[in-house]
Amino acid sequence: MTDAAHAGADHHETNYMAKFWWLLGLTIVEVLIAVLVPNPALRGIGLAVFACWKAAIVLNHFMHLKDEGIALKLTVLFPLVLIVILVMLFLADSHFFGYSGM
Amino acid sequence: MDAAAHPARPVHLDHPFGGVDNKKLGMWLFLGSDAMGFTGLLGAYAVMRVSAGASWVPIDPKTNAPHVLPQVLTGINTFLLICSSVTMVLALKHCRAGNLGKFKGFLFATMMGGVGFLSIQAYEWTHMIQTGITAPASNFGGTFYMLTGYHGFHVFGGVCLLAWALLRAMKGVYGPDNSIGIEVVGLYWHFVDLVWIILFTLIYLL
Repeated sequence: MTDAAHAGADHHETNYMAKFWWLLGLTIVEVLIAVLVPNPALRGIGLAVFACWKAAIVLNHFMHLKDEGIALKLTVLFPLVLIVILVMLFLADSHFFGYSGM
Repeated sequence: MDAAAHPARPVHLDHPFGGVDNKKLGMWLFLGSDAMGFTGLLGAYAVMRVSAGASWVPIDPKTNAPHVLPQVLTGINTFLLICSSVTMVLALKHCRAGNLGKFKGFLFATMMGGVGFLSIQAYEWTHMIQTGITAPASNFGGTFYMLTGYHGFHVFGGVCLLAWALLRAMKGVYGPDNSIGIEVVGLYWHFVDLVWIILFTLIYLL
């Protein structure tokens, strides 16, 4: 398969400028949330949702993961699940440190 | 690689992973392991930040208030990196379409986006060090410089990679039948953008 043929995997032409505007809009909303939302829990959830949304746009449309086969998708997504579990485990540990800051 | 051009070579050796080019698969695997490296640092950051509670951000002796990270400036930097991701994907698109002039232009613009990002980060670091936030002074400073520095190192690597790709593009190496190198470089560059999206949210906004 030539690269040009492989590029045919670009089947449905992605509107990259639309994705750009989405990313820009989401970034602006994120900054506004950080500045305007006083509730830390609400702010944290909002920012996490928007960050994941932006990451998904980059992963799917710019890195073209949505056009790949299931084997590659699983190879990429499985470590992402491990990453979330790893960070959760780290966070659980944080309560045992008793660190008081500097 | 076209299997038809090498009839003696079994197809499964060229594409052992469901038709995915070996170079691309290699880059995806590298990115997976690199993501684990970032996760280790992010985990350390999260542990120290959560256990520190409200005393996480050091006090600015001049204002007697916690230091405020430059959210707007870094927001602009994030915008710059997003722009460079778009120019990267457009470079690949034009390379595949055979519009080699536009391809080189977008590749150059991507590289400049990376240079701009690093310049703004250098300015930000200088400003922060002048205001007393240094790596040895606090865990906040240590993790901040480690994470943003590690990412910045990746951006620098990406800029070097883009410069090398641009040089090869000038020599006419890439085109509609040979765009896999650009796709692989693009994967790396988008990964750098993706990581920054997470870092920007966790370090600057949260």
